[in-house]
Amino acid sequence: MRVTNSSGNFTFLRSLEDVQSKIVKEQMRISTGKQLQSVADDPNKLYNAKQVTNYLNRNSEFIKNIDNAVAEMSIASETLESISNNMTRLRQLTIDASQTGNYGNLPSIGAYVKGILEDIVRDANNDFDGKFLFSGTKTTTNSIVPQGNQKNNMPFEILQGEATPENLTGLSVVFKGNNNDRFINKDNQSTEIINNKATEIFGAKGSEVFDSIIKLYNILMFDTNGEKRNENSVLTNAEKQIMNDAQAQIANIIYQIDNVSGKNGARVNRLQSISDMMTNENIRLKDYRSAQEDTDVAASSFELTKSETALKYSLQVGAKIFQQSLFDFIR
Amino acid sequence: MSELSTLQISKMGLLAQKFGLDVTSNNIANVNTPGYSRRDAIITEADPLLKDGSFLGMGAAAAALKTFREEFYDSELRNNLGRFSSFSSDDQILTRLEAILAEPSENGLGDLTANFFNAFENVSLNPESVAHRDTLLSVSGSLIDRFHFLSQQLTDMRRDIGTNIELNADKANKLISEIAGLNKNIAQASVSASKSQGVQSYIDERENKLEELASLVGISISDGKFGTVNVFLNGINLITGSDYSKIKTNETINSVTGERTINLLQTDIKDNAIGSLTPQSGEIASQLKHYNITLDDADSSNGFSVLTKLNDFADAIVQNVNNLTINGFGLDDNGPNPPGRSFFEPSVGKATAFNIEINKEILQDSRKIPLSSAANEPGNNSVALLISRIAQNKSFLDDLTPSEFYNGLISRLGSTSKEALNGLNNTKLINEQLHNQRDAISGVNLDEEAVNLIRFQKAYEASSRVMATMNQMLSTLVNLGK
Repeated sequence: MRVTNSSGNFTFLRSLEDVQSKIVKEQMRISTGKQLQSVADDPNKLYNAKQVTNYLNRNSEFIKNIDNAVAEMSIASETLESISNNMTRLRQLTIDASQTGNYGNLPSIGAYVKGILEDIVRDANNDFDGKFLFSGTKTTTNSIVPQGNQKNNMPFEILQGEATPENLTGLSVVFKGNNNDRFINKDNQSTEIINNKATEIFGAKGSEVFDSIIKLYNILMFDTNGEKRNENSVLTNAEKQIMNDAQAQIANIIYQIDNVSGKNGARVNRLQSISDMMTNENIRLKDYRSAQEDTDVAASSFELTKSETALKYSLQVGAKIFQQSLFDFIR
Repeated sequence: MSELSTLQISKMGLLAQKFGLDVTSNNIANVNTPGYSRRDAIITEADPLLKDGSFLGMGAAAAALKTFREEFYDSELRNNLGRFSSFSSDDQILTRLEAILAEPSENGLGDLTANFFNAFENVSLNPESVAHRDTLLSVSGSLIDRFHFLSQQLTDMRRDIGTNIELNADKANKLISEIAGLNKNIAQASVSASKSQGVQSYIDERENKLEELASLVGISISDGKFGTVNVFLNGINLITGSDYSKIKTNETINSVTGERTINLLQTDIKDNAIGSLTPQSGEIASQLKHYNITLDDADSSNGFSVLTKLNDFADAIVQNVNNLTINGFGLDDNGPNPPGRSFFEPSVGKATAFNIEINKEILQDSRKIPLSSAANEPGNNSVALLISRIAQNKSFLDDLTPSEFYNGLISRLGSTSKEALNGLNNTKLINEQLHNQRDAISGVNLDEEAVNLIRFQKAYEASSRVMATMNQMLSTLVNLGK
């Protein structure tokens, strides 16, 4: 075939362009670590990589939520344990008060019971990351508005009211939250309840437990005739019976709280296992995504070296071709 | 024969070799001229003289100028140029589109959409927290900004393409009139002996113009009378000899859908439309396709329209989210019924990438974002959880999740880009091969011309020597009588 100067130039230029564009592409792949530099590189791989990234992000979001929920539920668990411990102490005090040797200490035991009541209310008002643990979907002070003689915007409040024949100390505890569930998405399909309802822990209206404690406190502070006890007060048989009933009720409450705590722990375990599963899935997905979009550095380095060598020789050969023609030899 | 006839022979030799040297130097001068076809000096023996029953040669004569041109390669090159320009334009437009969409990257619309749904997931942990609600608004704002940016950029790009179509139509019209003018020159030269030597220059120039025109609109050619050519665009005659019609663009707007479409029309010399044209290849064909389909924001052709898909995507986000928020309650909504607050605007009618906005009421006060499913339950996150689940909802749009829909769009853009790139590379290679094949016939080879140069130079020198010899001989004769 007859070869002309124009076709030689044309072919040489095209070869240079091709090899230079290959070099730039491989350099980009190595410097960015990404095999896919353009949507046109491999649309299928790009689609797979983008979808996997999306799954990864979703999973990471779920893991973050679950971890957050687990942290909250762990705090709830510790709080429930603290409440349970206080109730156990209360039960012990009830037993102590019923014993003959402690008769002279009834008002001081009563003061101790009041202190425990305050501790339990403080625990009931516990929060995680600014959210109350046991007030349903009213989770912050902003959503709890004091009514009537209520003084604060905490979910549980001890109120000092007027003494009545039924409640000689006039003490009461009010629950201002609600008993609705709070949820998180644990995956794409389902939700998980993350809170414990006040009614489950503290009985009807979220205050039954407190009513029982106050009843106990009343007995310890006032006799059945409404007289304030002194150091020499003793329990009558009827009052002993009330104390025994209270002790049994406290035992029942402890059992109830332990049940809630167990349920809470089961949820934590379930969520933790989902989180672990998703973490493992993310590792596999990252591996898959890497295969789809990451640079095979060895292959790219090889291609780069090959292209650089090709460029070097193209330039050398080109320079020689263009140096010489017959005109160079005409003298 | 007299001595003077030998002088005549040497003179004719000198003239013939001089002609050869001129042709060679012209070839050398045009070695880099696009479309130039090399010439060869045809030197023949001059008419012989009958003397004593024998024919005696009377020297050499420059008989003709041979041109090397092969119509087959010209025609193949023109056809391929139409396809090459079409793919080249596709590649440029789609590469720009890819850059605007910022894919593959972590700043594209797909990631911002994922962030948007994740922000609902985040706020579901703290639905009462104004800080978390403000973060949700900020993330939503980024999504809206991206939609607006894409809409603006794609609209600007479409406008640029529209302008380029106009400019290319003008360029095509200029080429059409120039080709018709060259046809006229060629016809005149072919019937006029005095002008016939210049005809090849006209033919070369016309071929250049035809190739330029083919790059723009993709044409076919047939031979006309007296060396002219007839030019057709998708079967419609544009040039016949020196007569021609023009092309012009015409933009129509569909009164129902608002769809804007540019059509190419054939016009007479007075600019009256006489028919429509549908180029199948060339830069204009590619630009029309992208203007009328790819970047059309109201495309009804069912073709691959990126802007229409983005509008559908924006609308699906708006509808899916609003359907949930209108039944939700904000932090201070205590009434028995939901306030019916949309998260996005427009709450009525189709949303687009251009008009999508966050509800101003919400934008001014994030407490009003309806995340709760019940009144007076600020910690209720049911609506937020449902919105975050849209991210994996198969019935989001076209039975796909948001990420499937958007990544499908990107993947399809990638396939289209790849198709254009492959087409470009293939036609580029074919172009190169056809160029080389055509150059093998009509291109200039400097070594070959150097040989010719030496050949004609030597012959010229020899003829000069003959003349010098005859001069000496005549001197000898003249001096005989002294």
